[in-house]
Amino acid sequence: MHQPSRLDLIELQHEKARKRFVLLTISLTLISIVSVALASSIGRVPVNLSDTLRSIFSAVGICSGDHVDETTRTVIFDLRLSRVVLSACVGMALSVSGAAFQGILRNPLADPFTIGVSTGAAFGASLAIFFGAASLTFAGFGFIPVLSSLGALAALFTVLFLSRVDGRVRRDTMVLAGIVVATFLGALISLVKSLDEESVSSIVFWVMGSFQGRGWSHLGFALPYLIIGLVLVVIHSRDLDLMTLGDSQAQQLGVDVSKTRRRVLIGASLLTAGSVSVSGVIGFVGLVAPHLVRLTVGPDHGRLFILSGLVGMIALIWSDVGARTLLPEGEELPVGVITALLGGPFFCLLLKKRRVESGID
Amino acid sequence: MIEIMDLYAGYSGSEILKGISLKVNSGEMVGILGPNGSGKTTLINTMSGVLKPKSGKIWINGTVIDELEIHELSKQIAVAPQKTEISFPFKCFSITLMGRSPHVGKWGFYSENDKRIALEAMNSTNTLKLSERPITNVSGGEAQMVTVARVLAQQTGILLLDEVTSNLDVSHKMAVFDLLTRMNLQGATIISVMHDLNLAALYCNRLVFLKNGKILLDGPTNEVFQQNNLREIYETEVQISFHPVTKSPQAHFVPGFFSRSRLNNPNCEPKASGSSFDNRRHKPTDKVTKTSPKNNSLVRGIQ
Repeated sequence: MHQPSRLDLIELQHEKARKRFVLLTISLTLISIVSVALASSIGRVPVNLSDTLRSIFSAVGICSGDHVDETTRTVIFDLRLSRVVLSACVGMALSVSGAAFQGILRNPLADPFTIGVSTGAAFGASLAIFFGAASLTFAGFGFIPVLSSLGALAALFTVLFLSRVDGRVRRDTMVLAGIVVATFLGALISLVKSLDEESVSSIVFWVMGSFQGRGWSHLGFALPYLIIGLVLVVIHSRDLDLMTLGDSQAQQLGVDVSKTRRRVLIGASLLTAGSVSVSGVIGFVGLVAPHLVRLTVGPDHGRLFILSGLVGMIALIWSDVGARTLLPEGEELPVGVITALLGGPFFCLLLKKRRVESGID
Repeated sequence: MIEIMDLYAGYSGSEILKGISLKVNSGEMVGILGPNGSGKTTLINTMSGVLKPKSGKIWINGTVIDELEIHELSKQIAVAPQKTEISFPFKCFSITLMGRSPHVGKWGFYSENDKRIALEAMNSTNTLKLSERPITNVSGGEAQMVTVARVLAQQTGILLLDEVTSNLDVSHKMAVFDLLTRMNLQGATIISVMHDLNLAALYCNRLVFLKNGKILLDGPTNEVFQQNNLREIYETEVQISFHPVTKSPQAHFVPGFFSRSRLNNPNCEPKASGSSFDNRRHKPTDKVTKTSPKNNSLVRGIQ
């Protein structure tokens, strides 16, 4: 019989796809763990891998750290590991946020950076610092991420408003509006920082992004935002799949479209704001990771979130290693420089490819 | 069963449906016809709950539509849209599987049973061969067939179809409507917006004609599918014959009528007559060589 064999074939292909996804998840998880260890051992003072691992394990109380001297342990655990873990979390958050923005805005070119949300968050954060609100807390959360989230949402809605032409949001216009808003807010950040008589380096921190001097405490105050954002976005994975068919069709398939859109936009903005409030604006991670993943496992949002989160982690861990080791004498590059250097050309390729594929839109 | 009473609906600024009352009983197969812009798609959108009525009421299986949750409604009504624009390359199988979404629990995943039903739907629409291809890489007609498969997988009692065969060739059109007829015989209520009058007459036992947001005609196909009615609704000359096999009425539109009606319009050339225009059309060389001042102005009038 003809039909059963075709069904078997399809079944086999689905099984293969499932296995590939599981295999990818496991291997990317292993790679991230190895990356954390390796990245912690790399630095101005190189520490060999076994000492790195001993320092880490002794700090969490798994083994004694007798063989490693006190300074190395502090350098590894408090300075490097904290920074590596923070960059991993930010990488994960930015990628998931990018994937969510792309899905909900039905725009493959969207990313927290290209649609201006990151810079909005950075502006919110620098305002908080300018008005001395940095030390205040709000319901147990630090105040910076709160203002940062508000800035992110304000920028998002401005961009959505600007990119609506004749009631339709166009993809290219959205990116254009995003860049206009980001440039404008970037200038405001510089202004606020200058008024505050801060150094140029603090302006660079917000505009180009950096993990310099960041540690466990920063992770602690970003984490609640990242977790809430992640949950809001991930619980709507299947709804996001359906919403790629368009709002009316999604609703006809049982999705509460406006509720989903509200939650995902807020969730993705929280992920961005949490990240930006500790690391400044880091571009392109949220663009590159989801696209690489879509190319390998397809656009299904459940799989997309898991894998692009992992890819984003690995990408940002190593970008930050580059940022702190590429220049001689312990000088640091902003990590946003590395991600832009790698991600910018990728973005151009994507823009070009889409134009070829589907005409102009 | 769908019941609509005194429905007014439209988009911001413009009212499209102006007082529609319609009752479709369970197990009916109804064709919704009418000229462009008559409100057919708007009617589908209000019946599926996507567009809120400005006034009037809609009952779905006895419940007022506003009282049904979006999720609940999607278990009762499936809608096949005119066209779908998808920004991401989902596989045709994944698209079909989305039809199972109303039956999946809120946090749940598609079960093996859902996958089996999706594959069966693809099998019955003859789209299994497309299952692993991205929806963004298939032709418009193939995408429509996948949409039909998705609607079948939704397994609802009511199907609303919005020109679902517009991009299909004759054999696929017939295949889709043969399939819909089989489902109708098994109890499904089918409401289909169509442009193809003859296809509607072949398959639907009841036709509803919309024009300018109102129902002009509603009744059994044989009663309403008549020369005078069609001529009035479409403002085009038409002749009716009967299908040699099924005896359904079939419409044949007569060419040249639209231009003739414009020529008879006092705003156009007053002296122009329909027959001279027809001659010009059918024997171009004849007339072009004998160009007269009258004919020149006739041509201007047409342009």
